Amino acid sequence: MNSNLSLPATRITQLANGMHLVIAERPGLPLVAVRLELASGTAHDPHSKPGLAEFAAQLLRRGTKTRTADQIDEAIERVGGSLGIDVDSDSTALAASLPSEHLPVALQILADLAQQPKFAASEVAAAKARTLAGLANDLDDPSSVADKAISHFSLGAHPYAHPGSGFSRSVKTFTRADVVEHHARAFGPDCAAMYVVGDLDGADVEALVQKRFGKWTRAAPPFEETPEVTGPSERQVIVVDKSDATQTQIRVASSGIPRNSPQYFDCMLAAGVLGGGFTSRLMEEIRVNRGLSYGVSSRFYSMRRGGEFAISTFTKNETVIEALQVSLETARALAAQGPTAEEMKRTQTYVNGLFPLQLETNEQLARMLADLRLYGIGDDYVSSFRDRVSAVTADKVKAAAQAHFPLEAYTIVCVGPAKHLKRALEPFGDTVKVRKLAELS
Amino acid sequence: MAKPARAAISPDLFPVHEHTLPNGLRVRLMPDHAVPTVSYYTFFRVGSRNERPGITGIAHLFEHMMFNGAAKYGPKEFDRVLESHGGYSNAYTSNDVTAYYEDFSSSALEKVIDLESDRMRSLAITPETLKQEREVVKEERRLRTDNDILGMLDEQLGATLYLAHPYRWPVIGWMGDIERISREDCLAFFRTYYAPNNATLFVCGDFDSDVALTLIRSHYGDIPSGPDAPEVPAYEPPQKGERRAQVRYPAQAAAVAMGWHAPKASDPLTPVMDVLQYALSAGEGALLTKRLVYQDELAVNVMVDYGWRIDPGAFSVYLELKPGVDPKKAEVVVEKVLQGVAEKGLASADLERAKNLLRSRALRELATHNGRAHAYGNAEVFMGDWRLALKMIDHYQAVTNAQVKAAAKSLFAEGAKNVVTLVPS
Repeated sequence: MNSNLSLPATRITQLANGMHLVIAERPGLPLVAVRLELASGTAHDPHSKPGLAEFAAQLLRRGTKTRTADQIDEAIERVGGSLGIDVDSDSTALAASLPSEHLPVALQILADLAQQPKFAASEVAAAKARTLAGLANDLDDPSSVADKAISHFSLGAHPYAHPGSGFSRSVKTFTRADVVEHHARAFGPDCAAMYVVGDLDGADVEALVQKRFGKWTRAAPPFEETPEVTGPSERQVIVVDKSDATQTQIRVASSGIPRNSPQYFDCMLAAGVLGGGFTSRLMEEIRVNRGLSYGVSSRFYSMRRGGEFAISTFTKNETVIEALQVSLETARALAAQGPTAEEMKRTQTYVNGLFPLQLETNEQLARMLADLRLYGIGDDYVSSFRDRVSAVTADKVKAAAQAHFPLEAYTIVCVGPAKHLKRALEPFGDTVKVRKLAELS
Repeated sequence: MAKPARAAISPDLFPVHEHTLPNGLRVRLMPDHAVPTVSYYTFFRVGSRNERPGITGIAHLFEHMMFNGAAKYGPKEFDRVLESHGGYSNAYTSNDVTAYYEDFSSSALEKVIDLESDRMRSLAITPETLKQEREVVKEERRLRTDNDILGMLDEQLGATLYLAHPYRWPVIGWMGDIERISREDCLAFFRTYYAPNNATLFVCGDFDSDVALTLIRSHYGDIPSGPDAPEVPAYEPPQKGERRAQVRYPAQAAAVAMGWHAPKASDPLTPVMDVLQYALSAGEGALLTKRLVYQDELAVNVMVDYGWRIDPGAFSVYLELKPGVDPKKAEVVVEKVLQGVAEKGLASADLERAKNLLRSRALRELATHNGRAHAYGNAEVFMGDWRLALKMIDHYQAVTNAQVKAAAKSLFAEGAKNVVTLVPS
């Protein structure tokens, strides 16, 4: 593994209004990815209106001052393109992928969506109905319920806690005025960056972007900075009651790190040794040795201002306690002893071997470039990645495990029949609470 | 200045070096040095269609067993050695094929060839590993079918749409069969289907073709070929009338799965089917999506599937409805849209969109080593020629509205429908 990895060469410019433009030319397949990213996400939902950022973002494509929703869809899709709108904790991205020769179309549409969405009253009402239906139906997917529940219960009042889609009780209250105000604060050139990656087909991208975005101005003040995350202080157990389930989804969360933490690589390796690949400790104990589950994993979820560490698995109701016990003991053992030399080398080689797979497509590269900017990560991230992984020591992994694994303080969420689970889970927590499934919708 | 629109994709864009070993193993090598990784696919021509009642699910369970030890690399060694060399492995089983793949650092090529040839030659099936994997597969069934709305609908649809053909049972197998598959069943299965003459390698990435071929010859060359796989009883009687079934489950909303018998992948109609599928469901402007999600506001999600199959398969529509919506009402709307296509074909904008989205999808798949190896392998397994991975783009371009109309008319004929409704209980 001695070839050098790097990001493609980029041209970076900044418009007079503050918007950044990053261009990476990649000749080859005649495709291009265009990503407009705003440094504002679900963490900026008003406290009483979780879900607003995502709701507002999805409404952008339902009509602008010059185009109806159908016209927007047709403009992109008729030429073989796709448009995705993704709202994350700290960012909102409008991402278009399409044949190179139609790059100007993508720029035109994204400029239109970002700068002059219509938010027609009828579309707001229809979107509310769609969102509420989606939230209700999500309750049928135990894994989705568990994912929503774990952050909700573990991060408490922090803006990262609530699911991006919000809750029915909040979405019901959204008004057009809410949406308009949120958009005005979230969307401004000062917190916007555009990434264009792929075969540019000779287009003068700078000129096109200047034309489409040059007059963009901010309409309302930006949001305040998100506060830092604080980790759990007690052992909390929540059962979300899904009485018909024959299999229970399990999540265990404990303290995490922000994305640009100096301990990022130490933590990555700790999570990898514990529950990264197929030969990780959790996989071995839970799946291979005991056949308890089809899957188990552990990783750090790291946002701008902090995050969490989480273990994730599922098993039939009868073996939930065993799976939990084994998971916690496995984490404890690794934190107490640290990894073996063989484990370290295997995990480092594994992580480094697979890293180039994140650098194959235009969309992946656009995303990587966007992450570097959003999280304040150095430009040498890609070229130094493998050396930094290799530099992590067993002691550093042990320290990361002791600092972050679910040892003394954690939150456990089980989505399954409370009747079977509540009593049996009592030894695991200072508190065990049962919550109705509907609470997560 | 911009090039003229729609530069043609050269069929030689990704060179493929083809070989067949004396023992029948087919090899396709696709060197490419974009990133220092290799994707290594082994396609075995065996799937759930090769099973029989009593051992349904064996192809998939066996796929799990392939990771559990062979002569040189014992239990747990496959993954340990692979990960230690910077690689990752996975596999999937379908109705028609079982595909294994590794994505790994280019430096691990010889090790992967060693690992793969070892298990093709000498897989060991012990009672302990079978017992463990059986439990894992049961959990997988619980995850994907027993506690999953679409999974349970799809299982019932297969069992309704096919009366005789092996496509009628789920790939994961019935729970009762998963429980009874024996070690002897697995050993017989291995001998019959896992011979080199029943396999094709597709290797794409950062390697030298001659080096790779030499390694493959030296590692696989001694594995004896096996018997021809037994013929599959592929008969399915013509459908003589509409069939309906219900699944009662405590869900938030009703859901509907509808299916019609459709041509096999090697049928010249396949590009037309793909275009029809995309026109109905690809993108927010797709016919069924626009109508059911945005206009009539009945559905949360619409999916259409025309899966490539070795034998004639199905064209299916799946609706996740909003709470409180009457599934019959949604079904009527779907019928209206489908009969509209059967009577009038597609508007030119819809036809163009479908073709261009298919083209983009095909190109995007080719952007990664894994995607390319898989797309080329898929084209060979289902259509007999890896070149069709790129040629299909031209076939899509050539589809006419008259063809789409005729295909829809035939597909959605009176009495051809199969409907499974999820009724919230």
